[in-house]
Formats: sequence, structure tokens, C-alpha cells
Amino acid sequence: MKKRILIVEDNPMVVKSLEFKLIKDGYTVIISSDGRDALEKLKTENFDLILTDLMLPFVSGSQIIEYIKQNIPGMPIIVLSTSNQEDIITDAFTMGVEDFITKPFSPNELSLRVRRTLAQY
Amino acid sequence: MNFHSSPFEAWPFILKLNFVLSLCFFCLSLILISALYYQRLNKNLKLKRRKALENILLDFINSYLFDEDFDKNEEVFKLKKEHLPTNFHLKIALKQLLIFNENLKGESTAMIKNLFISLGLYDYIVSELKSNAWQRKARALFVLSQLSIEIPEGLIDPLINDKKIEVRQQAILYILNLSEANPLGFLNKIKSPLTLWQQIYIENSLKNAYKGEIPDFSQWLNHDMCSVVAFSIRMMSEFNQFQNIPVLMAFIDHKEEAIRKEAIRSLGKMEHNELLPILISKFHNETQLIKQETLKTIKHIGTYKHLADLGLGIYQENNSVKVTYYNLERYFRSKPSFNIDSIDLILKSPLLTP
Repeated sequence: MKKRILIVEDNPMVVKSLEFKLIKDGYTVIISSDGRDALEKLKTENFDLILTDLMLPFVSGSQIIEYIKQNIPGMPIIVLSTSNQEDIITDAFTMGVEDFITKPFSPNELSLRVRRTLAQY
Repeated sequence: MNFHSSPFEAWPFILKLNFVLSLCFFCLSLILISALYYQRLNKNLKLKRRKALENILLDFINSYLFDEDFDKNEEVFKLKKEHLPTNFHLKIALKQLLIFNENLKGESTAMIKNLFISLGLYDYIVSELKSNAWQRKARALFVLSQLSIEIPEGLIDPLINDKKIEVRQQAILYILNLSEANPLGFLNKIKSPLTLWQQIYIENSLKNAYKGEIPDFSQWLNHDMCSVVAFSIRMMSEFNQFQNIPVLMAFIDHKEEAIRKEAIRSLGKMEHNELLPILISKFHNETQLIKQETLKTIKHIGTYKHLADLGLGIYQENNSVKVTYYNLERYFRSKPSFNIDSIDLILKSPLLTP
């Protein structure tokens, strides 16, 4: 059965590229373009991994991470963010995310990290 | 009574005039509303077409980058023929490529560059560089710089001295972004002063983007442009070029005040202590700007003794210099650790502050 990945990202170009690449890699990809929609999906559907930006409309990436850690603790999270400030990256890892990828990103590297993270869970 | 004559002709003149004018205004408003409606319709249509093309390009670029079965040559040919017939379409394609380039790195960057050339965008950008409109030239330079596309030097050189500052700025950025060994070679070619913004851009690029060896700034100390000399002096201290201190010492007597100021500031930043006795000896013959800079340097690398060496002549100075002096005096007296040489002097001398 195909693994289900939820992508939470508001940049259409990034969404399209991630979707294209991950579908090619054999995953089922579900898209949320804002934090509110992502929370709705997390409440009603099951996912094997979540790939999220931190800066999102309505509900931030950090709030989504908090929700997952409290309600779906086993779900691995990869953050994809433009921020390369040390404190933001440290904060994300302190919250319990599995990986942090900074934009601009290499799609092949991202694909490898997704595979590695899914293999661990 | 004439029953065949039109009732309009029977109207009084004022009524006729009123009617004709009303009709004119009505027609004018009708034309105006139609024009506005047409314009809006046209704009919406254009936006719709643009959006459709953006979606086509988004799918196309993704397939080009990530689909190994994608027949690149064939598909590029088809895309150019079917969807990119005019410069307007090429401009949209360029924008999409820039968005991809901004968000992706690694092997995708090289592929984006290949796609840029395959789509014929290189020729389009070169033609934009040769256009007369400054905004088109500046935009073309920005694109080339973002995608790191190299173009012949002959095309870039004239733009370094373009009459529009925006073009000059983008040309400098382009050179800084693409240069691997000689990022400031353009300084020898510029004929207009470096603006403060340009200086900030250059400094920023050298510190954050440029990977090669930082050039020795002493090579521009005899440049014709005062701004280039001042900038070079400032960069010497920014990049710790201590080997240039002896050369820099000669510049504290330069005829240009701005250059003298930069030399003092740079030497002070490099903590060259031999500077202070010279500055103090010529303090009272200097301009206000240099006096202020001297006081700042004393605060940075000097002691209370250096300040006291300025002597009673300080009472002859203008108020702004005096205020800086008194603040500095207070600063030294309030400092928890005095220089041991100055303690004796401080105890003996009365406070100069009124």
C-alpha cells in the first residue's frame, strides 16, 4: 500500500514540484495550502508523514507540529522552511520534528530524506 | 400652422441646446462606460490566458526537471511553437524559471539553466540588454545575475557606466554574483561616483556571496573617483588588511575631507595607536567633521590622556565639538578601569566640564 504524505505549503510552485516528485517516487500526496485546512485533514485522515512549512496562513507550522505531537505522537514531521536561523531550526527540533530542510532545496535530497524518515517509522 | 414641421424645430433655442448637449453627454458616457467595460474584459481575459500559460509552464518545468521519461528536445520544441510565440509569453516563462531557481538548488539549478537556453530565453535577454529602455536593461541584468548566466564582457561593460543608476547597480550586482576571481575589476572602469547603496551592495556581496579571495583594496587608492578611494579605505578595515596601514597613514593628510575621515576611521578600527598623536597635533587646524572623527577615535582606541592632550584650545572650538569633548571626558572618568598612565593626570587636573 502506498504511503500517504501530507504537504502543507502555500507556495504553488513548491507544492507542484513536491507533489510531482513524491508521486514519481511512489507516494500518495495530499495537499493543504494553509494551516487550517491541514488541521482539518489531520483530524479526519491518516498520514504516514507530514511535510510542512513554518510560515503558513491562518495556523502556523509550529501550531501544526504542536497539534501532531499532542494528538498523533507517532507521525514523523519534516519541516521545509526558508528560515536558516539557528534558533528557529533548534526550536523545531526541540518540538520533536524528525528533519529540517531549508529552501532553496534539492528535490533529490528531499526525496532521500523522506524515504529515510519513512523507513525509520 | 405647419403640421409637417418637426416638433424639435418648434422648440425654443435654449431647449434645443439643452437637448443636444444632453445627447452628447449621454453618448460620451456610453462610450466611456463601454471603453471601461472593454478594458476590464480584456484585462480579465489576459489574466486568464496568463494563468493558463503559467500552469502549462509549471507542469512543463516539473516534467523537465523530474521526469526521466520526458523527451526534453521534442517537448521544448513543442512548447516554444505552441505556447511561446511572443516576447510577452517569453517574459512569463522567464518569471516561472526565476521562481523555480529561487526555490530549488542542486542539480535542478543546472537543469533550469539548460532550459533557459533551450527555450531561446538567452537571445531574448540579450536583445533586452541592447534595448533603449532602462527598465528592460535592468530587468535583463537581474535575470542573468539570478540564474548565473554568463554573457560576453562587451555587453556588460557599457552598462557599468549607464546613465541610469538602476542599470549601473544591476550591472555591478551581476559582476559581483558571477565573478570567481576578480569581483571588483569593474571599479577600474567606472566613470561615475559609487553611491552609498552601491557601496553597501558591494560590501554585502563580498561578505555573503563571493567565495573567492578578497582583493587587496590598496590598488584603488589612486582612483580618480573620491567615492571609490573612500570605499576602498573603508573595506581595508572591514577585511582586516593590516598590511595597508603604512599606505593608509598618508591619507590622513589627503586634501579631500571625506577621504581623510575614512582613513582615520579605518585606522582607528584597525586599532593603529600611532595614529592618535598625529591626529591630536593637527586637531585644531582640522575641519569639524575630522574633529568629530578624531574624538570618536580617541574614544575607541585612546585614553583620557589623549583627550587631555587636546589642551585648553578646546574652549575655542564650536559647541558641537565641545559637547562631544565633554561627553567623552565624562565617559573616560566613569570608566571602571582607567589606563594606568592617565590616573595621575586625572587626579591632578580639574574637570574641564563646566
